[in-house]
Amino acid sequence: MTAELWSRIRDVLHELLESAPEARAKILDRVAATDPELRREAESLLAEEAGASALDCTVGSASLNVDRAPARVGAFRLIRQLGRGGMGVVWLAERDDGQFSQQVAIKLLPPFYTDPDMEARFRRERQILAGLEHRNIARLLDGGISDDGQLYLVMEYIDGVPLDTWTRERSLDLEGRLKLFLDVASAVSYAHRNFIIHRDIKPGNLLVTAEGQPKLLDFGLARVIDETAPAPAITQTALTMLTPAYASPEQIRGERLTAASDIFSLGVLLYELLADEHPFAKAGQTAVEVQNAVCQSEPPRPSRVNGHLDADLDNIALKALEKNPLRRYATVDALAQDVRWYLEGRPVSARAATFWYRARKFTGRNRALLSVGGVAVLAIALALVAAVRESRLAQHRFDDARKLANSFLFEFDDAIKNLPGSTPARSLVVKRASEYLDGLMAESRGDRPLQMEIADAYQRVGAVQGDPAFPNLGDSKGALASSLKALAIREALARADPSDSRLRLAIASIHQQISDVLGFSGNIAGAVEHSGKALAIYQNLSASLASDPKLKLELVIQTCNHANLLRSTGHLDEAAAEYRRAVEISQRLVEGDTPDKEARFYLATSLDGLGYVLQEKGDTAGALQNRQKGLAIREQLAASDPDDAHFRRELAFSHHNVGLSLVESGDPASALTHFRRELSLFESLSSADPRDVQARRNRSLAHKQIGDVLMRNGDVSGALDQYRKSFDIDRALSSADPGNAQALLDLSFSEGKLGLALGESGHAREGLALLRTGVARQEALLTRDPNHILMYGHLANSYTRMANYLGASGDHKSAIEFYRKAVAARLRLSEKSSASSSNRGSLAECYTNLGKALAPNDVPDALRQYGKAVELLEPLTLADGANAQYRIALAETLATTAGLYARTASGEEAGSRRLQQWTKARAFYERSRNLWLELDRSGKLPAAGSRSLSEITRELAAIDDSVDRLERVH
Amino acid sequence: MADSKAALDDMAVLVYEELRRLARQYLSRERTSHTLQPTALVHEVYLKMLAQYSVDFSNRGQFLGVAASMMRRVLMDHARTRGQAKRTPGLLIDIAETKQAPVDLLDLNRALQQLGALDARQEKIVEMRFFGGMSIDETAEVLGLSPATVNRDWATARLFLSRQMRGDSVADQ
Repeated sequence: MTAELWSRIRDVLHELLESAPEARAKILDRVAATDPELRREAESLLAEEAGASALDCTVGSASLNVDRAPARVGAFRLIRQLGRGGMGVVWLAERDDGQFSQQVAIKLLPPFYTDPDMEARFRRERQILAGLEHRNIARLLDGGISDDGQLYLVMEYIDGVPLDTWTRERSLDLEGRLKLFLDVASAVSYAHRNFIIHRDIKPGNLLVTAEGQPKLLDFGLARVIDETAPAPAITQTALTMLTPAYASPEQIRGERLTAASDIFSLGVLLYELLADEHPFAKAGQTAVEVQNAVCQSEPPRPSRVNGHLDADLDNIALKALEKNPLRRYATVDALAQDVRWYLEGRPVSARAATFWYRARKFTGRNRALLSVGGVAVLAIALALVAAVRESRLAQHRFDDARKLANSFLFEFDDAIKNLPGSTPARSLVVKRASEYLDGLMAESRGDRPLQMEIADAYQRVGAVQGDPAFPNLGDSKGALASSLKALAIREALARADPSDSRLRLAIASIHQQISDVLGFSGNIAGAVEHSGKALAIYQNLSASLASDPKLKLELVIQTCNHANLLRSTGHLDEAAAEYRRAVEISQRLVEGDTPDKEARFYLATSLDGLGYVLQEKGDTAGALQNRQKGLAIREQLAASDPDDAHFRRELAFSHHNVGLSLVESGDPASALTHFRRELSLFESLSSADPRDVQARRNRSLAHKQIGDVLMRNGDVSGALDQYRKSFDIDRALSSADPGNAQALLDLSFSEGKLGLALGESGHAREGLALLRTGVARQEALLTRDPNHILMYGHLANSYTRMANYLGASGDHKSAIEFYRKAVAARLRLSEKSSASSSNRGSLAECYTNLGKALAPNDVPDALRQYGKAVELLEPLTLADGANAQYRIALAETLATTAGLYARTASGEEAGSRRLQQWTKARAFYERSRNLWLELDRSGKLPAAGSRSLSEITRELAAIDDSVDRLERVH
Repeated sequence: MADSKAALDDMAVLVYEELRRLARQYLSRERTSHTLQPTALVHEVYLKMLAQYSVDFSNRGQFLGVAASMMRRVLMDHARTRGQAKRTPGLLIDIAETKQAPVDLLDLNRALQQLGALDARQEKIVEMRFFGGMSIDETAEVLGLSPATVNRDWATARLFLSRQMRGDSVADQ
């Protein structure tokens, strides 16, 4: 082009630009008439209007960027920049190779790659990521290295807004937010199943489309960058690229990552969706401050921030945000399931305090092996793959591992299609996992972080095999072997570096797991030993890190765990001692400089535990005292935070426990006050949240408890009313969740109780039918889960009720049969579990009942049964001076025995035989009278007792009379 | 007038040195952003020159005209040095407000030189606007033109540059 031509073109362009678009064609035609070339040039330049506006930069707005963007990448033309971040610059681009038009997002990665192996690694990762196909994941379409050496990734272009903006702008309600979260979780879970960890989940990486569909961007990109970057200089770069507010503690510390890290980030996301506030970061904080907060501070319960939230949601979010990866949800699916269950109004698996969770699993929990779904398997697969992906092992090893882990998952998936009865699948899991970890371990020499990871994987495998605290495969032996391997690795590592306190905590955690496994498989001594070792580690650590109140609190929890184990295995004295220690430590924390609610919470927990074990030991006075102390603290906690459902629930439990001790100490009137208080708390909890199944169940339990006390006081119609309410709740709960064994058991209880009360109030047929239904229900439950030993106790009670009922209606033969069944069930229970005093008391009652039923027709057998009852009861009354119940039972049994001897005496022909029987009768009456008098002195003589007392006085006089007459005759 | 011209030439050297020093500082590897605001930089230098050398420019526009030219040189130097190190030359002009694709500085410079060969005045206008951050009025005043003329020249210059640069990038493939 010449200057002359340009000058002419310029004039034409001036004219064109200043005229309206419709006039332009005319001008161009005029120009063409004289100079066709001029027209061509003008037209072509005019077409640049859009591009030229890019150059119309406003003063001060232009900046220079070091990164060079090529105009094209592969088959794509870059259109405009969409954003930039630590991971590079993202461009909107368009396919313009003429094949088809497609808008994509292209990410140009930061240019710091010099490693010759880089390209291969980059391609491998890219290929893996390209395999991810999920409706909530922005797809990776292509990627490569441009001619000028720039790495790029081509991704599906998402026209959406960041998640946080979306929820804010649409003022989305809770349900909408949780559903959005579930979509995100399903994307992450899908990726985890494909062995990809996201590593950078945050609102900025989550775009919501106009249809409300969230799309997760940049899957595994952090990994690509890490993997592709020349180590180690870049690690730091990669770290600083992360957003610390969403990174997990282990990520901030620069450790190897597992899927648990993504679960943490999801937890942050969930927390923000719930509370509209970040759990750790506050405005104006520096990155370092945020990092510290993530690693150290505990976020407030979301419900403290947003008062409308349920405690279950608190628990879910906080469980995902546990600092210790092992304490988080094992998988994203488990997290999502809890959220889904919350939305469906079902109870969630997350529990506020480990203590209660742990405590429960030794008590009445249904131990049926939970179905072994993908959850458990994934836990293994992910632990393995995480270990492998993070390892710096040779390439072939990496590929092998991936292949193995893949086959692991898919073979297993196929195998479990034929559930139930998945034995082949089980052995496959265990075999593969163990082989694999053993192989990896052999190659890991000297690689400390990898060995730690392998130990984690062994622990996980062990948990899946048979930790009763989790859904498991029921393979206790395998679980023990895997757990011991984890222990051995960690102990070796600890020998090399004894100062690593986190490692020592990990050792404590594996000891706890071993203890759980041993306890479940019946090795009580072993269970206690390992639980004690876990506790010792906490004790040592908290002694050496005396200033750490968090650790002290952990020590309290661990002490309570150990005490629970001791208690449930019959080591009542040791258990009491541990609870006392827990009380002492938490008491000091409460009195310390920074007393917090948590310390008071655990003080109450420890006191309650102590009360429980004292009651079981038979120290009713001690039990009552400690339970009342716990109650007072929980009153304060609930008053200080009236909206906290959790505190109110705990308070209700305290009322229940105090009520129980009051019943034991013979004060049913005071007990009733507490049970009624308990009931009203649960009523308000369940009306505040009608979906709270647990609150409804507790309401039903309180009705039963009140009914029992009324029944015992002879108020049958009052009791009937309570039992009916309980029955209605239980029936509704069970039909809402038909597979739930606990709900079925609850229903069987209310059937039994209601049936009995109906019988007492003159509805014999109805009552018997209900009793039979209840008994059959429990027998079915025991068949379903023979390991549920506590079911024997329930059955014994049901048999007894049944027998009482049959006896009262005149069917003595059937009554005796059921009493015998009750005795047999109680005996099975004392065989299987260590003999607790309450079971021995109940067994005595069964013998007495059987004896009474036998007495009319078979005196010797009846006396034998009474004898057994007395034999059991006497030591119990001696051991527990404050327990009125055992004394009452013993006094009654002694009087009944005496009565039977007196009756047989009058049947004897021979005078000497008669005298002998009278003497025995007198001795038994006297023992009974002494007990009644003793009860009277302590103000605990029941109405039946005073009746019995006057009867005894009459009987003794009659015996004296008869003996006198007999002696006069001789 | 001659004195004033000489003073400007002398000053250009100083301005160049100062701009180069600042640019190196802004674009150094130690900084995370790797960005600089050329127009802000030019104004920074202007203020510094006033304070340090108590130079009396006839007006601010005159200085900016010189500074814009120097700024262009500084950036070009930088782009070329980087280019030697990185196999491909390139600095990117990132225009935040318009959300348009950033422009490669070397491409722009090449197109600007081509424009200059056809019309030096248009090259100068673009330089002042682009690298000096000068307004239409300021540019018009310094060059002794009417703002309307500057506006027209600026508009056609951009069409030319845009076409040239696209042609470059197509030819690059």
